[in-house]
Amino acid sequence: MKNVSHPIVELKGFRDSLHLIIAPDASIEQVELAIKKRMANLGYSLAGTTMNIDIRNETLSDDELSRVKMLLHETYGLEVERILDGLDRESEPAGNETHEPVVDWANGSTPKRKIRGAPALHREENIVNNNFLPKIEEVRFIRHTLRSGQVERFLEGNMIILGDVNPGAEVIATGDIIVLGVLRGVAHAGALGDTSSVIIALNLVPTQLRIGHYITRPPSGRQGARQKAEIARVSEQAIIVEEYRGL
Amino acid sequence: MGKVIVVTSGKGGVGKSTSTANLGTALALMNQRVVVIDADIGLRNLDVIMGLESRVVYTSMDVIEGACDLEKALVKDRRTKDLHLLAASQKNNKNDIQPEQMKKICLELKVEYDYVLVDSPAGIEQGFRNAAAGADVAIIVTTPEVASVRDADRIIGLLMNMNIGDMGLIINRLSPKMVESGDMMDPDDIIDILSIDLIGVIPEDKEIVVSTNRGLPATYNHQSSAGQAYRRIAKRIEGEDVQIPEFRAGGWFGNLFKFKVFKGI
Repeated sequence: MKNVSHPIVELKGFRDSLHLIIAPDASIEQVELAIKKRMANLGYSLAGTTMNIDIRNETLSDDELSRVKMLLHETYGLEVERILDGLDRESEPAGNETHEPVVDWANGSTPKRKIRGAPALHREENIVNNNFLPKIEEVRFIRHTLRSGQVERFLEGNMIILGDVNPGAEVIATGDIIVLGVLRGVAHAGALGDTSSVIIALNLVPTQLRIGHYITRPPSGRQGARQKAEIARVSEQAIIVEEYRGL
Repeated sequence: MGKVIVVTSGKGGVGKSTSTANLGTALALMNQRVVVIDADIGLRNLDVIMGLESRVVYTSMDVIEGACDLEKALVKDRRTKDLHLLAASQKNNKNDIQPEQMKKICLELKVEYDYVLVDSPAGIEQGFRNAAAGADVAIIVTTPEVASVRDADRIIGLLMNMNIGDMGLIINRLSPKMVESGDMMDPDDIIDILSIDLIGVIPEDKEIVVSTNRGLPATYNHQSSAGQAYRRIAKRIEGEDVQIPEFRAGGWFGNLFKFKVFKGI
């Protein structure tokens, strides 16, 4: 880890929701500042996502918590669902058992989650701690076409869609997004700020692409079927799209 | 036991009511026993399109409230044997009916009739949910416009969530000339996006305006190209293998579109 002391706020993905972990000794001013700093690049891009706040122990008063909720909701559009305080923070948020299982990429199986309640290790931490082990990544499969109005989030890794993403549909992942079909809607890879994420589609004709805090839309006139699979990635502060020839 | 078919689109003004009236008429002309239900509570107009406005006495609301029997509330179309209308109440609104109540009506009707066509209101709210509640099959109506296709896609997603997986697509008001000049969405592109079976293409036809204003569905008019297209759809609903002629400027070619055609409900 980069530094031993806890950061004031930590943002982690957990299935299709977010966890905000607030350090125990932080004041409300510090917390607000830290949230603004963490969210600076993300802006409103995660709007509509549910969030649980983990306050480790009850250092923040109810009023102060309301301020945090207000900030998260009004500035970033996040829906705070639960406050996990010192007493029940070890318990898993309600309803997690019903989530679709995620596939452990390395073992090729559906693992039982060992760390209850705690979000999976962040990508970078995985690399730092286990750099002598094969990289473990979580992948979520969507095995149908996403139609207008449907939103799929996976905030713990990568997403593979076996179908199309139609106009008006949205896919959001903290890692890469691969569409084995036509991507016509909106895709947001690296949703927590990882600009090394990529978006790959067999047919890339999106309404809009987002990687981390970068946003792009296809040049006007780019329509109809593409002949080849394409990849979108960030290069020199902008999203570029090119024919996919392997990473 | 008959089938309940909901005719829906998401977007307004794409021809749901016109399609319901014409398909109902076409099926009845094929000696099927048909009821069409106007589910657009508060904005009823299926009765007008079918020319039955002056004969409506009871509505589905009266049936639900127990003011009259279901059979008594049906308006019989005198021009065609076995074509009936269950009108919508104009003084209520969509939230006055619950999906279960609508479902009950549909279940009761399909015991007696071969086809129950439900004309859905526009939108994705309760009015739509009421209309789809008792449906076995859905007919999605879209025009070759981006906005209309987008809304149809949304509706298809919602219907799938309601476990109505059996769907057929009508592409309405297609202008072959405009498709050819690249000014209108190609049926191929629409089917590519919506990925459901096509059940028919209705060409743009001025006759429709005249017929809806007169309350005489275009199906009765053998000169109307839209009327002919509706009769072909009715045959496909009945399971007949009728080709979908490709509409092109200057006439039709006997070709089929290259995709699967919805057949037999």
